[in-house]
Amino acid sequence: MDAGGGAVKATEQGTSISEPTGAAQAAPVQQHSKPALSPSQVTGLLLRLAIGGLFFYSGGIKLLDPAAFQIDVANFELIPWSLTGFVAVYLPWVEVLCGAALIAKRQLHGSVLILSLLMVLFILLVASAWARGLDVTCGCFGVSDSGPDYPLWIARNLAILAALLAIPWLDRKTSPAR
Amino acid sequence: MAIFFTVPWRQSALLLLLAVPAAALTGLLHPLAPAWGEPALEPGQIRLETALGWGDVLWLDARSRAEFEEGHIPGALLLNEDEWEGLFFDFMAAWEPGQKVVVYCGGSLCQASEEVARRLRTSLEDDDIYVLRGGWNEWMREVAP
Repeated sequence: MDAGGGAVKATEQGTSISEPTGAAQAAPVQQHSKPALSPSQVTGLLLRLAIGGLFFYSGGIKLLDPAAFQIDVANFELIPWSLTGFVAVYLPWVEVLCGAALIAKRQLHGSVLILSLLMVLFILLVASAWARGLDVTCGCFGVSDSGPDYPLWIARNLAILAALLAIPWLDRKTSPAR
Repeated sequence: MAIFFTVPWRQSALLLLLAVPAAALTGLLHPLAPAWGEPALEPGQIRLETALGWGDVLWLDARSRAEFEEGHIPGALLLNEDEWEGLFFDFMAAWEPGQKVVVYCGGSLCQASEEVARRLRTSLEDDDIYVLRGGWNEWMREVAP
């Protein structure tokens, strides 16, 4: 194949080579292969997509039925009913936007900060409901009929928090020095 | 952790501000938007303060036995759908005709109290059977120390 777009001429050995002409002559084709992603880069990318997708889904499913999510919020018995409606429409959008920001790698550190603070808040809320003996659904992924499983919810939120904190660390480790 | 004190505050504010108009539109236009005022009682529901004002009430706990044993309203009887056959006789032995009955389950989301109340209304043909709004959570918040 004439990769350089030039004329083909015979060599003494009988083989043929390309002779670059025109624009290709000024800018010869370079065949660099992209360096393979390092394990840190792959981990960072997967973590960012997974956690971003998780929050995007989590917020999106709450937005399908904000009225039901409002009941979940009210069941924690921490804020007056009049405020539960604001939480039920605002919090899912924060999750969706931050999830999308993580996926797109835009406002990365800002979204990590918000989501990390949210996870700390969720852990405290669950622990508080557990301590008060309340019967709540976690409201994590929309309405659920399953009964409370406080240790599982706290462990899951801690794992998500750890993953969130690892994202900017991996990003800094793999990005060129600024 | 140093990055948290340099870059992200402005980014965070931007994301939080972007969510405001989206949330406002959701609150105004969503067909399943939250209720801004406290929802009215549904037929057959009763508020805790009303039930407490009645005095002579038979409380029925419609949750599971494990939850009942963990804690329940003082004097309440266990009557759930899983053990209906056995527990119904206990209820009949304790209930005096004409006595008001208030059934509760975990909170606002559970349906067990509604189901138990429906079965009782069918079995007893009695109108004085109510479901406690907010259930056990409401009791824990308002009455329990």
